[in-house]
Amino acid sequence: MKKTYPINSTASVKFALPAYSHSPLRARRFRFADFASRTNARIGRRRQAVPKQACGMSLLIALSLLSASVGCFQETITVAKIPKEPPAYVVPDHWTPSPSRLPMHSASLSFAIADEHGRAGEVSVLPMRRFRVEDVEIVNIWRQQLGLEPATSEQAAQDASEVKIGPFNGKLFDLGSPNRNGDSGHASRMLTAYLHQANRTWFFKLSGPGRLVETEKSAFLRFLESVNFHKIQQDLQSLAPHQTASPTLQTAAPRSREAPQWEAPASWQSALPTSSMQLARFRISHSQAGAAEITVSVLSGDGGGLLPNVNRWRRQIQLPPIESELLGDFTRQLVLDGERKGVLVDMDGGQSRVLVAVVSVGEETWFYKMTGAPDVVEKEIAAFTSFVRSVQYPGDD
Amino acid sequence: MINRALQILTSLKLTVACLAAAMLLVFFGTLAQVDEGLYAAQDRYFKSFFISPLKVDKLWLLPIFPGGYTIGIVLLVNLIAAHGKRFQFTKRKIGIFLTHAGLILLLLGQLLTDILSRESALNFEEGEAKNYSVDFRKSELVFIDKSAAKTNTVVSVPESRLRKGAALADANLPFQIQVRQYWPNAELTADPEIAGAVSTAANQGDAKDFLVLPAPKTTEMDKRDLPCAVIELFDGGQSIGIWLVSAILNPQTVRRGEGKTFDLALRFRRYYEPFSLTLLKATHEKYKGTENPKNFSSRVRLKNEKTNEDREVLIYMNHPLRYGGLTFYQHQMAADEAAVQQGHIPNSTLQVVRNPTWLTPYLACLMVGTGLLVQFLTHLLGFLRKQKKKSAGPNKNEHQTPNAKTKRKTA
Repeated sequence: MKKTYPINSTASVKFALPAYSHSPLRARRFRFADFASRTNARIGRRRQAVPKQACGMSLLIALSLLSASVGCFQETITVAKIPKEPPAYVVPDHWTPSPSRLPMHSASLSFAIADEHGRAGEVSVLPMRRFRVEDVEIVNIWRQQLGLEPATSEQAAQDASEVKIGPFNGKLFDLGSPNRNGDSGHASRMLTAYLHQANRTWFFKLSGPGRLVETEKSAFLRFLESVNFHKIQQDLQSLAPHQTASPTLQTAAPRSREAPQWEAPASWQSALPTSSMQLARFRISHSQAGAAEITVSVLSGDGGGLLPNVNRWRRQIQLPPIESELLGDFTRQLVLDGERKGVLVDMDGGQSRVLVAVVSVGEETWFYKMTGAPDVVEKEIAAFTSFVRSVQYPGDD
Repeated sequence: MINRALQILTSLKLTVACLAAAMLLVFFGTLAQVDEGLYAAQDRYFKSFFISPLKVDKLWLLPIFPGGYTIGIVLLVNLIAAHGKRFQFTKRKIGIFLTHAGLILLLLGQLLTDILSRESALNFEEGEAKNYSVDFRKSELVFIDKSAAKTNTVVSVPESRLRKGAALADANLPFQIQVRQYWPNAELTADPEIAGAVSTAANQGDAKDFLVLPAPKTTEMDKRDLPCAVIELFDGGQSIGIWLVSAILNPQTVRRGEGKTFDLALRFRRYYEPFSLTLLKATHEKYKGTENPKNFSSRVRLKNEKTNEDREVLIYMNHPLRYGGLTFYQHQMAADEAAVQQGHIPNSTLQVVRNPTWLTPYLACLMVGTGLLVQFLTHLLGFLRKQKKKSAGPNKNEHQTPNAKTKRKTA
């Protein structure tokens, strides 16, 4: 028996007011009651006729949603045209790369410039780590190179102008006389710019006879604007192994350094380092006691200090941080071969234990860290300390 | 039969059953996140049609409970069907209509969000410009053609297509690919004596001598899987070699014939945008004497050559940048004193969210709220009117027949 749905016409009757007034303007006005009455009548007619359609419609919605959901799991092969990354910098063709003449600075770039009159100049780029001095002191170093009298802070501030260096705003100084040609053979004019960043200061310098500097000024400013700091840094790092040790590149990819000599126990499985800070990585697994991992990392300076590192390692094994007074409770001295000494940090978080040997080597700090199940770490302590003692550092006899 | 199906589909009992199932699903799905991790539990409980305790060869068997998709779709269909059946367009029911429409929009919006939205991360150092973000979980196999002067052509094969035995051929691909082996998470080692290390048939590329150390899929939030695959490439049906590709390897070079070369890499999936962001300044402030972050902010330069836009924007906590259909939230930061002391260049990570249907929950809530308010006010006004009539004098309706009263109630 076909089921029909009764139409409740009461509502439409209830709101059915006199349909139109005498005014033609009001006749066109929307009346909700009329609209409702007409809509209800339409819905009622459909309902009586097509319950199957309603069912079909619902199933159709379900199917389309299902297919949409399933369709999203099939990912397609795509093709995209991507703009190339801007180069590290853009220089004119007549600037020729040359070996840096800057003393003690390996991670620097240098370009030689020569004009048709035989005048020669130089452009150099030099990043220096943790170089924080007053602007006037920087300016006076350059003034001294040009044989000029030292400037006061006010004068240095007046001489400075803003310049675009890559995406940043740096300071530009024009020192020396544009009219002097540097007959003495020394540069008589300098265009220098610098930019302070969090952990380094970048110096850019164009030097040479006055007229050459004047001619090259616009090219130098375009060069400054084109600097891509991320790329130039990579370029400088790639230069580092071929040059002498540089304070700027002490943190350059440790993997590129010469591998030290050490004796690792045979049971330690060598694994690939998981970050650029790691020099080596080993895995130990004891079938019942669990597993542990050993990493060797090298950082410049003191690597951020012992206490912040200890607290970082404590966080990793879910232990609360400690104050410096308690540092002694978790550390002991590690005597290494020769005069070298280290610190051994030992912390047990219950679930896992951390044993770190911290060794200062020149201006670097080497971190040997064993993390893992407490039982495994306990069993491997002797092997770990032997390993740390076996390391022959670069420069050791 | 059809009437019976319609009756079930429009039944309020089905609504209640769906809501109860949804409650159970949320409860157990949330608990499962402890063991399975957030993403795995989401995939298994909420982004699935059925939940099964057994998994055989990547297929879940014996469905024991409906998954999030099933419950959501049934609930949505039930809501639409029931509303279609009982719908009556009257002034008194505008509130109910609005409320239901809001609920339908909410359910539909969530389904669309699941299908269309994506989350990725943009990590850059001070001074670095980036025009892409990296997916938090997915990877891709890419062939990069760098021969053009100004652009690189990147052909990307989603990781989901890299299944053991899969043969991939596409007009855009420079080679045909045969996937010989695939591991969703694996390390590489050069030491053949490591237990569990698997040698591969790779005979080309920088990694041909490496062995694979398969690892279980990670369940930790702060780690991600490093997929690895062994693929054989064919050029015009001729095998040109077998490569080992891994997310931890740098791009390898593949030569086609005598001339063209391509970079081949299995890398974290990138989403390129037609604009770039350059990190100008990363600010990482902590409460004095603690490690607790006080303020993370990134001053960035937004550059879009197509629209000639070049402006600076400050992104900080709860103040994201909305641009190009994307929202950039401040996510992570390594720019504090310790990071700088360790020689790191200050860097910042933005979470990039693309969700074209982000407005639907707001709109749906507005509709539901308005609907409920209208419904409440309609009843309240009716009640007040009735009270007024009562207090005005004897009700004329009292003299009406009981049948007339019933009729009005039905209305």
